[in-house]
Amino acid sequence: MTFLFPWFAVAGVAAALAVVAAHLITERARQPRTLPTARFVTPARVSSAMVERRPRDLLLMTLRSLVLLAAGLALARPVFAPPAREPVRLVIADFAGAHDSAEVRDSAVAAGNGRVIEWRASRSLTGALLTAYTEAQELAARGHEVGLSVVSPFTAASVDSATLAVRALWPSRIALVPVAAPPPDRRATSVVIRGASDDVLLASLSLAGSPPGAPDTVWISRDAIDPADAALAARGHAVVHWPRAGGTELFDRAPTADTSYGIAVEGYTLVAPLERSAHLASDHDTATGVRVIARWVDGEPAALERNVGAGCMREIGFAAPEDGDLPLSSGFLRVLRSLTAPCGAMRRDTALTTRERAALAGSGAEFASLRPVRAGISGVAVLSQALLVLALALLAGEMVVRRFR
Amino acid sequence: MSDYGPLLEEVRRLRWRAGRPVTGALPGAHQSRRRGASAEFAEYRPYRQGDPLSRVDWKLFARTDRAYLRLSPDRTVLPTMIVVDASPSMDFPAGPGSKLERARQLAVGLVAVAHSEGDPAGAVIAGGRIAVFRPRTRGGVVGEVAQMLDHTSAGAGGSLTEALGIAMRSSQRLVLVTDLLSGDEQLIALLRAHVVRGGEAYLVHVVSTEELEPPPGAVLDPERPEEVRVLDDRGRTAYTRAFADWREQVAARSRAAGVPYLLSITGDSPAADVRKIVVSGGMAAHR
Repeated sequence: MTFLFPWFAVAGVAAALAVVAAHLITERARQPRTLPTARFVTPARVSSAMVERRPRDLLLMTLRSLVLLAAGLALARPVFAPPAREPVRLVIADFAGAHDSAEVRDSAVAAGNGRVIEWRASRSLTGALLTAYTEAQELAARGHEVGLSVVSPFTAASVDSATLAVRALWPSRIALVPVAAPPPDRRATSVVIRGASDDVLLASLSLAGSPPGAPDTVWISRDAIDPADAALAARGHAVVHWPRAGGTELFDRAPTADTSYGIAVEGYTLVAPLERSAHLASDHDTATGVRVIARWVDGEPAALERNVGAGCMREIGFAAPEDGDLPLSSGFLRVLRSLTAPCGAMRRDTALTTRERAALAGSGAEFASLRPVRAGISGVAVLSQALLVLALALLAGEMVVRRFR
Repeated sequence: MSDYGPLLEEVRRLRWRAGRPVTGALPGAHQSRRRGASAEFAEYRPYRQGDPLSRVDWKLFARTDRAYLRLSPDRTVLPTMIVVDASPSMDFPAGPGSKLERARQLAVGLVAVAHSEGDPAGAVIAGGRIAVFRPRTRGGVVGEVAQMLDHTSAGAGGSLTEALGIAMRSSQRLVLVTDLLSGDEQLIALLRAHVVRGGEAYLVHVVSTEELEPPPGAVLDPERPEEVRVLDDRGRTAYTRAFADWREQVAARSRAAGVPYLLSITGDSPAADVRKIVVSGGMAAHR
């Protein structure tokens, strides 16, 4: 048997023990009894306080203890656990994105022996986790231990502000089965650079392709941001602040530049020596709507994006290499296309970081016994009601015994 | 009203004869000090002038030429009073098992036995006041005495010595039923005086089981409520010894005074105690 609210049972036991203790250690006031032959009691035998170590009224003590115990057990809502059955693994199959459905379906079939929850309602896994949790409680009521696997590309869109809180409901480890992420959502954009005529990015953009008349225009500012740039962003454009040297609003210029040999953007990692001339500002708070869109291979943010009005502003924390042909390489061009994508396009398809995936997976056993809430609710109610009736009957008995002692 | 039926049934066949010849004018079941003219022979006495000639044994005169009167034993009644102590200490423990209830049982039983012998029987109860039922032989005496006892509750108004004095004046046989906690020496002295004057006296000492084995705790004497004493486990031994010693001393003084002593414990059978009392007179027998 288990309890839906075990603390009430603990409280009932503690109260019953307290009643027993009170009966044991009660120092009764010396109410003298009448004894006509008291004159034969030696006066020198008048002693100090007599603490009676034996309970004086076992029946009252028993009734009072049983009342509190029965009431505590009734409020704890006891439920008889069903016999244990084989473990069941549920599978959440994430079909909400533009990734390969066949790969998801094949992976889901192989991932578990229980029901496959095909999730299409939203790219966030929050709703899918809630559905799985409800299903798991039904299984737990029938005696099954339940595990969970999630088949998904695990992009940034998979996790929203409620996902980890819902994940915390699950008591065991969640097996993450990644599938290939969908290709980045790229609408044709034209990129406008405001800077010097010998800017190395001009050469890169000419190779990357910036068709005129594209529906979206992305502005790159190589100098400081001015109010006009903010106004552009507010009207729905993406404005990229990519200084040739120095820091930005969110990146402080480093006293000495170091070299990092890789940068990851949208699941792609450019392996090349890049000068890291700025670091994330110490007073920056990533929880205030600023998203990391690129990271150095050591995990430090390399580029940030934040919403401004209908658009967004991006800040790049590294300088475009002025020397060599890296700016003309396909890898750099891919990074450039990602950093100059329209607002929102990057956010949806950025892969989860290792830490975010670890938080989603959690730790613990592979299978867990969830606490049944709905199962056998009628049986729970009957047993609780019976215990309450018993408690009331015992209370009535205690009053009668106390009255007629 | 208490149920005396079972007790009366058990004592119905008891006979309570006087311990020695008594003085009495009315005919009864007890041997009289005087010699009478019945058919039963007791002794001869020389004829004295004035004796009735009809009582001369002429056959003896023919044999001896001397005139003797033939004498036979006479029998008379023995008025009996039961004195019941109803002081506050007798109302312990509270309820139907109290010493006072035991005293009532003994009194009714003894009155019934005496009445069945044809003796005038009565009772005096000293509680809040003194209630007296003079010795009578009419039918219904037992019921009237029982009613008087039941309607008298424990109290401190009546004097037991005064009640004893009333009984001594109106009876030759008296039984004092008391717990002796109001003072034993004066009571025993009065009983002894009654015995010396030719009467019979019995002392029935009533004790409750709770007094013999009291539980530990604080206790007080109802007749001395200002004193509170504590009885712990060690003190109970001394208490039991002191109480027993006192009972033995009282019994010894009572017997030395010629007053049979009986200890009546509330847990025992009242009929058995009545039987012991009447047997201690030395002349009881079942019919």
